[in-house]
Amino acid sequence: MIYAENILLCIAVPLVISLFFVRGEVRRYVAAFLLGMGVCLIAAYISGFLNLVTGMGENDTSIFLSPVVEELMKLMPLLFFLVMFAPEDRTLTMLAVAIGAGFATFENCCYILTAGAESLTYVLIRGLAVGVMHIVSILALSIWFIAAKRLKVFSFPAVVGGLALAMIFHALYNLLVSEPGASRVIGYLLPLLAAAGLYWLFREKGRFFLSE
Amino acid sequence: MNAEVVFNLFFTAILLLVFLGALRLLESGKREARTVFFAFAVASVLLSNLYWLAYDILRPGTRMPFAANEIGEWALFLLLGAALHTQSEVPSAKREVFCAALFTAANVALWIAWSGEWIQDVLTGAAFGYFLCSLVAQIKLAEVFPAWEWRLFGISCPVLVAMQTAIFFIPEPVKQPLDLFCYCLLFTVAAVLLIRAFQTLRSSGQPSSAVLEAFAAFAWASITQYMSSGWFYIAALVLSTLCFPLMLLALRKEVAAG
Repeated sequence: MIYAENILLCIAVPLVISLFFVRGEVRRYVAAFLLGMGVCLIAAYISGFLNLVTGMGENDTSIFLSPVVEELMKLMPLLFFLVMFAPEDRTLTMLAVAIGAGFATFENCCYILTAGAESLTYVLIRGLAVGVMHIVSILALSIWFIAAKRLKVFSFPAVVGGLALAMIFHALYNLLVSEPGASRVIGYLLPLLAAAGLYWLFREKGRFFLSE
Repeated sequence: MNAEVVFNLFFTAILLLVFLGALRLLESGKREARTVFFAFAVASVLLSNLYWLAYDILRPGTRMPFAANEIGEWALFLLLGAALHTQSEVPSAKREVFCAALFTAANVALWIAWSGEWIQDVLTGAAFGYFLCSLVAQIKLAEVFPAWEWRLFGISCPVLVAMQTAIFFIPEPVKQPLDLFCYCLLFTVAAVLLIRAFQTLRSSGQPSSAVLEAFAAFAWASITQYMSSGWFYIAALVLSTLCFPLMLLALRKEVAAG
């Protein structure tokens, strides 16, 4: 058993202090990073609660229910910011990346404390796969929001539809890495491929459907 | 590898091609809301299919504790519904929308009776209902179906629901012919809608009509899929998958027409 709240406090305190000494985009990034770590802790609480209620077991809960909870929790701050402050597109994607990175960082910290960090290869694979997966899923969601806003079709079904897309992507990753062998390798490659695809869409193709 | 896995591999390949086609359509420069929604909807159903395949290969013969692949189906219906909803201001098809909502509710009740999964069936029903209501409103507004076809739907849908409900209560010897009648009705309507959408696509008529007819064929194929089992389910899956290239071609025609 690990004390996740204590770990969060330990990591968050220097970041909170740094908020007093930085301004503008950097401050927003750090704040969103902290928010990402916070929602990761809440998502862990909810998943733990669902594990107890459904009796599915830790493994099945993390494979089947956690993607739903985690993506929903990551969406909340992003949606709040989008609806309340109507930020510029660049700011929204930056916040999405920060929330995803904060979420993945805290999750990795807890995982390493639980499972150990002896194998550098495995730690690197985990960092790359989980880190990229959490960033990719929320970044794709923010891009979807921007596209929906540009096309003037930003609505409740559009938000839920985008969220469901992020959930199924996350669920597929969790399912693939849950079993050893080829499926795990494919699972680890999935976020990297998605990240490469997003990068291609976002940068190389003139922002694709995001262009004015 | 069982037959369902082989079929699903084939469908996944088709969906991948449709997704790439949708991306090419977006790349062409004309960014219609419908096309963007369609591309995202195909991506979600593609991931849903991949999830199902991965599960069936990794854990064969076991039941999912929580069917996460259905989330992809919710995304599909919500995104397709939202794509249709963008075109209308205030739908003036209250009667048709009400009937569509009622038909969806009846379907959800049947799904629950068959599977016993309350939460997932209600959520799938809500997403599908939104799609169906948006579609029906658009079809009515665009006057794609003549009055007699509306009446035909008005008769076939309640008959279908009544027959499926009756199957729960009637004695065993009568069940099979009634079940067969339901399948005949479902597949006949699905085939008619599919052929009709294909013909409209080939004709030089309204491109929007072709899109709505292709979406209607998909909606009915989905209903057929959810009401079928065994080989009938695979046949419905074939029809449903065929609708994706059809929807893409119809959208391409609409985009080309400007």
